[in-house]
Amino acid sequence: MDVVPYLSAVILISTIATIFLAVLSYAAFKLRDKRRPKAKKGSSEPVYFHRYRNRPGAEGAKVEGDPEAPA
Amino acid sequence: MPAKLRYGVLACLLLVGITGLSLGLYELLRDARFELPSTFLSVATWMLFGFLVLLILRYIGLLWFSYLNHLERDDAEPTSLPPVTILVPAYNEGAVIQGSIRSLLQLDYPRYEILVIDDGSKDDTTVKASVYAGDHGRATVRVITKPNGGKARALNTGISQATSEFILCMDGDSALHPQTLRRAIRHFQNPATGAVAGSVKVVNRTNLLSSLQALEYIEGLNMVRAAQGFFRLVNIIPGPIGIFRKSALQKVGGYDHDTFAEDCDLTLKLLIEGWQVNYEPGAIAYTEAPEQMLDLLKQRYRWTRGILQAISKHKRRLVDPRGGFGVTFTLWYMIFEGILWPSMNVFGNVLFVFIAARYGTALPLVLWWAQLTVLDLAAALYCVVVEEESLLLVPYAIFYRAFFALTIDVAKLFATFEELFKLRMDWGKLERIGRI
Repeated sequence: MDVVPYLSAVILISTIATIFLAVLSYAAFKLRDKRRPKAKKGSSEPVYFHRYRNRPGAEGAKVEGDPEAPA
Repeated sequence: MPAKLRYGVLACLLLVGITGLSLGLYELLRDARFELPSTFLSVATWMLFGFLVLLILRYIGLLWFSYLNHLERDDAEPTSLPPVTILVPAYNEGAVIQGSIRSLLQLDYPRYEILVIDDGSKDDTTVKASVYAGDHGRATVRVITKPNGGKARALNTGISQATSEFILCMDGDSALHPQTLRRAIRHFQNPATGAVAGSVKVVNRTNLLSSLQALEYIEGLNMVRAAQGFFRLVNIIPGPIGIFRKSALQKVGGYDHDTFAEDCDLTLKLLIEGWQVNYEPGAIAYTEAPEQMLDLLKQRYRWTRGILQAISKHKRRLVDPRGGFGVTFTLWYMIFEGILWPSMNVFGNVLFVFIAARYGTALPLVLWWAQLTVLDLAAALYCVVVEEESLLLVPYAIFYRAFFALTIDVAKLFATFEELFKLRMDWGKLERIGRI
């Protein structure tokens, strides 16, 4: 019995299914991430971390509201 | 209906649905009426061929240099064992902090200090850690608290409070092998060595996902570090275990907190400053890996964006090799591993599936996968033997290629796009299970 067509079908389907599931999982992760608690309105205190902001042309990057950030 | 049965039924329905959709897509591709232009096909074929060659070269290169590093290993006892300070930054690590300290007190080393830095935890981390504060013979435990400011600031506080010239930085949720300090400290007999990266191993091999990560840590991360260690150019000292020369840390200003991969950023700063960064497979940290897919994606999302931020921060060195060609090469290698490799993997898979489905090239498809799987199995076997790990991990290499690597690469690709478009991101924190 020639198993090549069956093997190739299994490989194809598992690859398509993996890509499909990977995209769905990423969407689910982003959705869950959006539902996490956010900083209160008007409060400058971040809930988890300072926002990362890259400055064009600079060696370093700046962090908003961070007094220790490189000038 | 019991919860387990409900989840089982849901999982079966999902599997049937996904298989049905995949079959439908497969049929759609096979029966598609349009023809691809021959130019596109020939370019795609050459790209796939190039991808295959690159993949094999990458494997051979990594295996070869990690093997050379393995041969170079010197197991002799170091001539001196200087005091070491172990920094344990902890934020809401109440579930695991006592286990971490207990494992640290078992270390086989004559004199060391354990410094727990509570980063403004909202749980009982300080109380639980303080139980161990005081003198324990060879080891002294100190607990300091500070307002919450992130891991980088906590480690910087610890560095300023450390009393030893050598500092081990770890995570609050990790545990160390008893021989870790003895094995790592010998590298510092070379005055050019600024830091040593240890080997991270997954402790919770409880399901398919965490077992795949156990293999990934050995094959995908430790093997790469071993190869880089041959050139003394390790590019990421992992968060769970890094041993540093304090003067080197002070010279580069400690950890910065402007990226989400502060360990990668610090390693790059050390390399730029001219320090050598080595790898020690015998310095082992055991860590908890995410057991759920969404937690794993969250971790990889942060790693990917953090590494890209670190590359962006030091981008001047990409085109300026005056400070040492090694740093420039390392940065380009990081771009290859961080952006190019995942893109090629996803693109290669999609293209190959499309062409195979459309033009019915069954045999090349099977051969392609067979040779990739053989490569994966061979690499996994080598790494498992070298790292004296369980041989039971080797068969996971089959799932690694078919499922794990592709899923992670898709997430990496999305994260890369988000970083390129500078979308907002938060630190977040993985919930620990407390298996250590």
